[in-house]
Amino acid sequence: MQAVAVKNNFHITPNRRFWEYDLELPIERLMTEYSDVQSRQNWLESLSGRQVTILYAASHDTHFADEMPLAEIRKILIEESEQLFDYYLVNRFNHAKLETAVSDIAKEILSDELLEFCLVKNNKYDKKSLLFALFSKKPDALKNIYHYDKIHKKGFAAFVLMNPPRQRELNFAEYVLSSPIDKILEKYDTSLGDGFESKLQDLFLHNGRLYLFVRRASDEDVLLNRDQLLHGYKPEWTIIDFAVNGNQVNICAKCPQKSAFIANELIRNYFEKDLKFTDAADVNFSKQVERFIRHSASHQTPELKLFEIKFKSPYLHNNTEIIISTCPHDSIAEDLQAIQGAVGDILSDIAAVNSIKVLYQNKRITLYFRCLDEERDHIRICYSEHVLDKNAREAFKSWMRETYGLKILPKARCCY
Amino acid sequence: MGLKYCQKPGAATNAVKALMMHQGSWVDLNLEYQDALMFLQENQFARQYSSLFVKCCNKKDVQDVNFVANYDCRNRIYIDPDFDEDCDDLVCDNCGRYILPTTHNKHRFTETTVDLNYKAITEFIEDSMRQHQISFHQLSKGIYAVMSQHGIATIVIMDLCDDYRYLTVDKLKATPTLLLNIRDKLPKTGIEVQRIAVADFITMPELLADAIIKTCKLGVSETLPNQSASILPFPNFNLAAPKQIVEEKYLEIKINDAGVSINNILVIGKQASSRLLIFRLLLEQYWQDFEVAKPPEQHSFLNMNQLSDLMEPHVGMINDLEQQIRRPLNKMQKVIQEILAKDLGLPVQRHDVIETRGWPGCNNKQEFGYRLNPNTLLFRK
Repeated sequence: MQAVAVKNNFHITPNRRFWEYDLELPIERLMTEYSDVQSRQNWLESLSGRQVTILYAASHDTHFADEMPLAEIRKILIEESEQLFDYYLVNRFNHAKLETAVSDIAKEILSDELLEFCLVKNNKYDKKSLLFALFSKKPDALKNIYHYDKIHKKGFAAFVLMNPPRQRELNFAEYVLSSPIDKILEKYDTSLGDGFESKLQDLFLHNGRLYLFVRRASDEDVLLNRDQLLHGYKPEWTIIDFAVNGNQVNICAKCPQKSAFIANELIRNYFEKDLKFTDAADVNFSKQVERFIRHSASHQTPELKLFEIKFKSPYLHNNTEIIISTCPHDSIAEDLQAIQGAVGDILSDIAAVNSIKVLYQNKRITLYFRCLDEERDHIRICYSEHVLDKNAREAFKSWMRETYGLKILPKARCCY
Repeated sequence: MGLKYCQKPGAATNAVKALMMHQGSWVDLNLEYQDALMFLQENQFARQYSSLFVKCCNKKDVQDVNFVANYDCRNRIYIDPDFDEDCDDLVCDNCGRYILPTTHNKHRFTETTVDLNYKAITEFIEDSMRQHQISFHQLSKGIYAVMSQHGIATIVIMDLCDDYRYLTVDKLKATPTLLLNIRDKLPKTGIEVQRIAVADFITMPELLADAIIKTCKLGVSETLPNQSASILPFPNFNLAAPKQIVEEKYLEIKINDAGVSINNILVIGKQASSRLLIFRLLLEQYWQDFEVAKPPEQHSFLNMNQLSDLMEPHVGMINDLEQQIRRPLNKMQKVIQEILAKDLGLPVQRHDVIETRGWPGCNNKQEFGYRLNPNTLLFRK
């Protein structure tokens, strides 16, 4: 690794741009924080035994299983704390990163023995320890984690390729990994015509999906830094999540329809045909939706509990909406029964139900219902996917499909 | 019975009453309420479910306030008791903020839900009547005819009663009635009916006997002047029949002149003759396997050629397996799935009724086959 000396004698590996530009960390402020010897000591003392062991092994290039008393390791680390600024940055990087994002990437890089050492409980790993080890072995993995974390936290609109042609010999993912994406981004910038430049920040294949991360400037903004006012633009992320065969794509962007340009260009170049992604249009029958709501309202499935329902009633005027909300562990069915005399059977006309909230794996998910025809027979369901991580989203979608035969779409789909 | 509650009848009974009567959950029960809950649990009257949560924005969490994204976000975020910041994540599902509850020392609230054990409470009511030499006979669920030395009366437990005929004004004017409520609130009535909450006498069972005797002594109720005669909160209950629990049906296949129906929904009409024939052939095969008690995994699949041989005596020569067998079969699978989803909302999968083997990824056509799914269909002799 190439080391660059900076003020305060702290070494930054691999380089300042990596932390500041790629991982968006405020390096100047953290350097000032780390200049204080007491803060350094407090930080090292706050680390758990497991974290200290991994930190020592990572910073001294030794094996983590080498037996050495913890107190001694901590003492050595405190003495050498000036050399550990990189790991302080890793420690700061750890903040707000989801465990699933860190462990998913780590599983591909670290040894099983090390992973087992970092295992805390129920398939959950100590994030900080994993990050120390990852940084030592492959610093670029932190970039993947930084971006992969966004996948779990953001909402995506789903698109499918209509009538996809037969696959070419060269896999779509391999094609994208070797294709000049910068040229497509230039075309994309020209099509937007706002003078900003898109930068491909990351591109990697993970668990059968291909991810592209593009950053470009967006809305104008100002930042205060002591007595200075910095003028600039907010970063806007476009994340494209392809199926490896290119037949399906999820897009996270301010306007997914516009950003579909990049996906369309890639797929056209790959198949050498004029193809286009269209919105995934999964719909359900109203009877299926009614059955699902009645079932979940009476708490008949332990996996999912309905606790809030927002609806209109023909008994009311002016499109007034009523929200009934209970504690997730209390049955809402009794309340629906109780107000039946006043507003009728809400579920007899599913088109009157605007949205419901359910508790699934201790997460509150909102499901929105949109009627697609005058007969009120076809209903599109969207869910607030941002509350679930990527793995939980897939589990929730397939659970809904298997249990109730319902096809649900991410909420981002409802925005246009 | 917890003696503590007899010693402190006022405060303790209030806590017991509140816990029994309140429908929702409780947050951070104080000591008095915790004692009351323990009393209910010791006597099997209730079970409690507790969960911990933090509030996204709680001004009392001093160290966390600076990290709040939306100061109006009062969302409750549930947290496991063994939450470990090293490996567990906590994200507000309302504003999307990542929270560090341990580092920022956030207050964890305990939410308690009290689930009443109606069976134990009913037994307690019956035992109380026995102890005080009150004869009773259960007329229906939650309704008792009781007899004391002062006369006879009817007791209606509002939470359990499902026969609303006992709550009509006619009935109340004919028989002295005592209304008991466990959790349900008693409605305002246009008639003077004796009433008592179970929570009022759960620590002092003799109060129930007093209330029954009082009811018997007072006799039938009188209509209050200028009051509506309706006793029920909403007038749309069917008084003729008690409410019934609707049970979800299994799939019921019927074959008659109209065709094949599932749960009384016609899925293959008689005009679709080739589909009907294929279904009958699959059924015959199913029946043969069923009669010799084959386990489901060994039920036979019929491939295209076998189906073709079986069909030929009925429809003559089969020239095109694709058009005459595979298409009707695929159509049948699709139609069954769609019709049942559309008309009944049932989540029937494509292979739940007619199962296909060898698809996808199977290149040997002999290995393709169809059968009625023995894992989801149940026939009885």
